[in-house]
Amino acid sequence: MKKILLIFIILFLTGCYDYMEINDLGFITAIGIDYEEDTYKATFEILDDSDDIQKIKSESKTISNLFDNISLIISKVPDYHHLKTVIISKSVAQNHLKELTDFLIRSPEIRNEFLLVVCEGTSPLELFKKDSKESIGEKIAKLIKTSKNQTNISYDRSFEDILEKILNKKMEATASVITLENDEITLKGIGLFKGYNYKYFLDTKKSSLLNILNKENTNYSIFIENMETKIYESNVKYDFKENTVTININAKAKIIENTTQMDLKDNKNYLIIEKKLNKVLENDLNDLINNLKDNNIDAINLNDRQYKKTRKNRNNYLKNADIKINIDTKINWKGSIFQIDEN
Amino acid sequence: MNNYIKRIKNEFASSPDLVIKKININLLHKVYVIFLDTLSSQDKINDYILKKLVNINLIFNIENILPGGNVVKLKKYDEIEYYLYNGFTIVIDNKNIYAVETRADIVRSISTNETEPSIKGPKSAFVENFQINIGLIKKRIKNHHLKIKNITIGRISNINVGILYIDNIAKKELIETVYQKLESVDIDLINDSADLYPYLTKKSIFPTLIYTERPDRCADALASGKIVIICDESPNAIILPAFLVDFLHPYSDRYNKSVNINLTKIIRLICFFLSIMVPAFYISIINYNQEAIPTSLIINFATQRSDIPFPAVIECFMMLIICEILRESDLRFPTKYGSSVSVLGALLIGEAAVSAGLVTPIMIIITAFTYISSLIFTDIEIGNAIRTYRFIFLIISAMFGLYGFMITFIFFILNLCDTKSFDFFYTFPISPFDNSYFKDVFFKLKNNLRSKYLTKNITKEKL
Repeated sequence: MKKILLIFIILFLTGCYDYMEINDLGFITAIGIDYEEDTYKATFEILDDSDDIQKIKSESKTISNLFDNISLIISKVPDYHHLKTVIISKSVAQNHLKELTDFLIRSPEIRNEFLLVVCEGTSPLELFKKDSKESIGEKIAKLIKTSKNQTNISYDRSFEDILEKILNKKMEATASVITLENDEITLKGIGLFKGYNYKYFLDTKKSSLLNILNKENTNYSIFIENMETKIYESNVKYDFKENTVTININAKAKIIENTTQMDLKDNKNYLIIEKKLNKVLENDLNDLINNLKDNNIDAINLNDRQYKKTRKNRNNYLKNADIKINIDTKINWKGSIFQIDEN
Repeated sequence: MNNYIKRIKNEFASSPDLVIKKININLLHKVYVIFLDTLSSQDKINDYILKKLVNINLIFNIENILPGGNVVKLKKYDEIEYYLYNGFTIVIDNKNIYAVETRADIVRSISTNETEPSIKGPKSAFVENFQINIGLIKKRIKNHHLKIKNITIGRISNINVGILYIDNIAKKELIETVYQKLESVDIDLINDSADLYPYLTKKSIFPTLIYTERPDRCADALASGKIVIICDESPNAIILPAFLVDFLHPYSDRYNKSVNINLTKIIRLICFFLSIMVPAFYISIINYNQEAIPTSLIINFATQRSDIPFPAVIECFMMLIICEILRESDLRFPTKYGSSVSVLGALLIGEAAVSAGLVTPIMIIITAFTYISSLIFTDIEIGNAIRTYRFIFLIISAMFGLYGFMITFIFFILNLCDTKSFDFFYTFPISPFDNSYFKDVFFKLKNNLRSKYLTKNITKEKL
């Protein structure tokens, strides 16, 4: 009898404390945050049981009030578990990322699995002004994920990963950068952070190279002498000896377009093409690395890599190191081999 | 002798079917023939007794005259009642009492089994006659090692109960335990072998005895070291010990191709867990852990639920209870009235309930899936156990979400592991693991050994 009573008491006095009807929830899928005139401005994209996508605006001096204010407007309980994207403006990324990150880490309702995206050239609030049946948060998330395989110019990692890099002194964080071009959301490249401060973004070519060096997907087009080739696979290894780093890249390439007079049936020509490819790629990579060195942004995580291999704590390793690049490209997808007869 | 007759007349005073026939062999010698008209066959009495006695003038030994195959000399008066009620004819000659078997055939003929149908394999089923049932098993085990221990149970019913075992295979401790348990049974009446359940099992949600009407299943169980209990006037035999895996897979799997049937067995195992847990899991993720659902699906669920006035929990309980009512009515309703009840119920639950805005389409799918999964199991006891646990899971998940679901799951596994069938673990052959039984029953794989857990005589064919 006592056991039954105990079970009864446990069930009915402690049960259902976090019960929530699904119709009472408003699922927030995207947040756009800007900072203008000493005020945080945000637009929240909310999905619920109605057919329309609600876009709620909020303004406040503090970030926590910014999030709290939406409860004054919508009739549903905000649910952040389905948050896909947080789009921040350049001004927020440069000066207020620390406050935003602090708030996001402290909130138990917000999981850090969303994508953090920087919006260049326009306010993130502009992205939500267009009426569309598709959720902006999902659209941007899909764009970034698809680009990883197709164009390789995005950074497809969650906020958790960015946070880990910001908090880890040996790494620098990166994030995808988007803009509004001809009324369409367009991916611009990868943005670089120095600690909590956003510095600048790399264009599509440099973003692709950065992903190669970071051992992400490989998809890099090279146009040499009327021939377009694409590096589609690469194997990157770092060798550390004191202050010298050797980056060994074994790449595989394919010929996409050939309008030269070169006889592609002759294997010797491929050696010539491969040499040229190696040279072009080496130059492009050196440009990127010098760019990163000048700005002292270790976006290729050289500090962390050398520590893992050598266990020697060296700060500013990128700036001080002598970086050599060895590239070995092989063309193993030649495509249809024919000669264009100009006669 | 006259005293015997007087006593019989007194004791059976209100039995109009009692017949006492006095046969005068000669002036000095009388023989009384006593039988119950409702239980004895007139033809057999005429052929075996009356025709023989009427034509003689002198009897030295009446046993030599009576030609019946089963003639028993009774030692005391008290045995008369037992033999009379078992269809025997009592012949009293001076102080000698003989019982001659003249049983009337008031049993139905051997028919096909209804509760465990199979496409392949034998179709015969037990009937309400002890001898016929024993015969059906002995036709399959033609070996002198097959032993039967008889017990009479029931103060009023005096039903004959037989414990069957193969003495060089079954464990002696098990046989003794079963015998002692049945000997201690002290009840008025047994109508069926199911009445012995409370005396053979401890309290548990899961069934721990197999209740079967298949003689081939009993023969197979005896050959693996199990014990079979057959009860007179019952068309079902009890096989013990029984394990969870025996209830999950029907016996007819034995007659199917192993490669194909193993896939079906995997599906059944999955259905066992799904049938218990799907409604509870749905409620816990809809009401507590919405982050576990993909965004597009959760919007779909929210849109469906927008017009429903009841919480999801109430909806789920409502649907499950309606389905239980439907199932019960389908079981009890005479088949002659047709299957319109099932059709009516399906219409009620399906389109009508959704159109009326009482339930969501997703809830119909969840309930339908749950019940279709549970219909895979032919044993009604395991179906009842699944239902009990389904409601336990649902109540706890409705209160605590996925946390409650996991706690109940842990409790479910613990309960399963703690259940025993005659001191044998219910989760056998998973725990304790046994290769032979696993290959025989859990999956259908090639196996030439008996289980060490059930018997010491493990070799069943040349290795």
